[in-house]
Amino acid sequence: MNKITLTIDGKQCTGTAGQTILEIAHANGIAIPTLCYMKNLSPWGGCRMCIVEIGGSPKAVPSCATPATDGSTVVTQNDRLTHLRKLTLELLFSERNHICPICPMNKGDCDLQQNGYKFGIDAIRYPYLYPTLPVDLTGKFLGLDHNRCILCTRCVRTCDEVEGVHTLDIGNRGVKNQIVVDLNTTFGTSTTCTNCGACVSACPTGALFDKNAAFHGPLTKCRQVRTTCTECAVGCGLVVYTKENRIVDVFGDNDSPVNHGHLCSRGRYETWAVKRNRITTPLVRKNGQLVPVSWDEALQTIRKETGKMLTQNKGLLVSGKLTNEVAGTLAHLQSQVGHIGMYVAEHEAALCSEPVFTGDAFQRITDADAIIVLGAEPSRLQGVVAARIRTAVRKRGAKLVILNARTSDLDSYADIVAHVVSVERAFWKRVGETLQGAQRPVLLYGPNAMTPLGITAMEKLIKLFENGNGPAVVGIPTTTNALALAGAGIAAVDNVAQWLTSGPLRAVHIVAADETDGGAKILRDREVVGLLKGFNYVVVQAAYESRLTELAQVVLPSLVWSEKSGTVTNFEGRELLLRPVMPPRGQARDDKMILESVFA
Amino acid sequence: MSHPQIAPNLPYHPSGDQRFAQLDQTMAYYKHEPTALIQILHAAQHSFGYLAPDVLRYIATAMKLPLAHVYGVTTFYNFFSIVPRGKYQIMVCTGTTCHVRGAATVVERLGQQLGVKEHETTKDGLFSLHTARCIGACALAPAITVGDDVYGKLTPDKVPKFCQKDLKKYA
Ligand code: SF4
Ligand code: SF4
Ligand code: SF4
Ligand code: FES
Ligand code: FES
Repeated sequence: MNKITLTIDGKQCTGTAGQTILEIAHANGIAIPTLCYMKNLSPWGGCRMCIVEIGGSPKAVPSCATPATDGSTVVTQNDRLTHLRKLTLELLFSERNHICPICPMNKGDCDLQQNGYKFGIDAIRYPYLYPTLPVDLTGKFLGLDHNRCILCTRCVRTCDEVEGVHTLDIGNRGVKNQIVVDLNTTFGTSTTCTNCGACVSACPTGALFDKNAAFHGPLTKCRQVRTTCTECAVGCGLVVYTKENRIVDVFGDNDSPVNHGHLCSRGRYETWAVKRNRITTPLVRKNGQLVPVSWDEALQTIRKETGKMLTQNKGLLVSGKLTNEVAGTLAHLQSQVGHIGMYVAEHEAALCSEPVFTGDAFQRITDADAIIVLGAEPSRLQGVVAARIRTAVRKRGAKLVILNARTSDLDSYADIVAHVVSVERAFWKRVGETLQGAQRPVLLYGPNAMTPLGITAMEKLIKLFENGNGPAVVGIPTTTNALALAGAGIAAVDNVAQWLTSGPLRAVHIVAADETDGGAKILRDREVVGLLKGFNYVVVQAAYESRLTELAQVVLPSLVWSEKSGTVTNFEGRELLLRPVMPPRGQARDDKMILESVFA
Repeated sequence: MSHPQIAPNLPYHPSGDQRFAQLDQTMAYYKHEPTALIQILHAAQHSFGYLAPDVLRYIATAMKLPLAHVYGVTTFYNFFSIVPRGKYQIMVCTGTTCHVRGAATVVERLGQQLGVKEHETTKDGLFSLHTARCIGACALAPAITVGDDVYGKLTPDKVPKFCQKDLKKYA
């Protein structure tokens, strides 16, 4: 890399050849106003807020899109540039309907408004165009108000370069330019939008906004807490904005070494922007009805019913979403509870039997030039991984081979898709040809690779690389912390019915934690419903009401992700910290504390 | 615009519409190169008359291009139409010479006679009205084209007669 030196506003600045003037200025602590520029996106150079003068030439150039040249002299601030920037802002204000008092980003969250204040814009010299423009409120979580769009394309570039689906683009031409969704449809009917919300995070104005955060006051006035998403095994970093102990919005943490700010719809919205019924007090079944009781009464009831039971008659079935700290407690309980199991997805027990963490898996996927997805469903389960796969294929030309029973949007980017793994020679020859010469291949496998056919396919795949660079083999579980819990000695159970009948169980305590379905997924097997009904005693410890709580004699309220502290281990083996964002709701308690008091 | 001819001997297309088979062939000719999108849209508009959402979706899927990108490119160019167009395109030249000779009034009167505004199509689906910048027939200003035919010296007051006589030939 070639070092270059230039003078910016009289200061000697160094950078590397190929960097833009803006990048070098920022790196050297010189602020240049911007609107369409966004770090980590390709430059657009459309708004002209970042204009500078080079070498005394009166021609103002956009610094975000101009490569710096060695030895040049750059001026970023002078009266003329300020004048031009003011005109730019005034044009932007006049083009659409920026009625700030009724905008969700009013008072601090809008870059356009902030720049307006900064440059002292109090009157607009251009006539307002007052165009008639639509507002799209059909999105599940986000809205798009064209009246506030400045056509900076940050959303377009984010959707294309980060999430990789390119749902958005600019339609029409000239004054009729407008952001379009797919073939000019709405978010609600888009066939490609994943609801990742990255476009909203990128939008500098109130054009794109989170419906659940709108009109809750400026984010700049909210408390911010960094924590970790526990919806899947990726463990993305979150920044949670709260006001009066209410979540106002959730964004990705740009400083997270895992997701670098990007999230999927689960981490971004599903955990808080979807209404769910919280369990707020302990409940005990009396005359067939669950009634609220005190913690003391609930604990006494459990003790009275199960205290005299033999160890082997008691079972503890836990969620794989629990923290490493709860895992420690569970390990201590082995002597008091005959059977401790962790319910996981189909075929996932085998994946947990020898937990393997691939250190820099995420980076490997990002840099891969060939990716094989075997029995995993990143699009549905680990959205941020799917985004990396899409961009690797679409932006860097990586090869993609998908061997998966279910279809997903990733299929459309793949070189080879097979829903049933074929044993035919011709098929494997084709796979071999596609992957030939790969320098940085990654084999990403999920629970469904643990079937006999899946294992055969895995062997064949690894054999294909015999004479080249072997792939980074990355296992990704469906259940958040399953690998770490299994590593702590808790047996993974992917057949709950079998587990319930394997011992002389009479009472079972189910810890569903804050699973968004309340742990009801184990009831998908009808047999489990019947078995649980036949038990003497069922205790459900969960955060949300579900069909599972209906089967319980006692229900104990536990914390949700935003109330928890502790650690989880992601699929790369990183220990990630959960920080409480707000106090526990009602009488909910920490899972560890509950287990200790029940089994004390 | 001349009438599209569907080449014989195309493989049968499962949609039952051979124009898609032709489109397949065009895309294959360009090896599905993303850079050939404009040529492909051109060919598609030629055979379908306009670029309906289904046609754009078909192209996007086959070329592995994002829907929004295809839409963006299509609507960038005035030449492409995403709404049905008439069988014949009427282009009124509004270039400098024609403008001086009253092109604006020609557009207005043609619109009145046909019952459409610019970019719209007559109820019978026969004509769509457009304007263009200098069609290279300045000597005949004001000039218009109907399909591939050029009509010159069409001053505003000649418009009614033109509609009653000349345009009838296209019915
Ligand atoms: S939510 Fe995500 S996928 Fe949808 S348009 Fe925005 S960036 Fe693209
Ligand atoms: S919606 Fe927002 S991010 Fe997208 S172009 Fe408009 S102002 Fe920019
Ligand atoms: S990818 Fe996983 S960890 Fe990241 S936001 Fe989505 S669910 Fe949460
Ligand atoms: S920030 Fe450089 S042109 Fe917009
Ligand atoms: S200006 Fe009309 S043909 Fe040239």
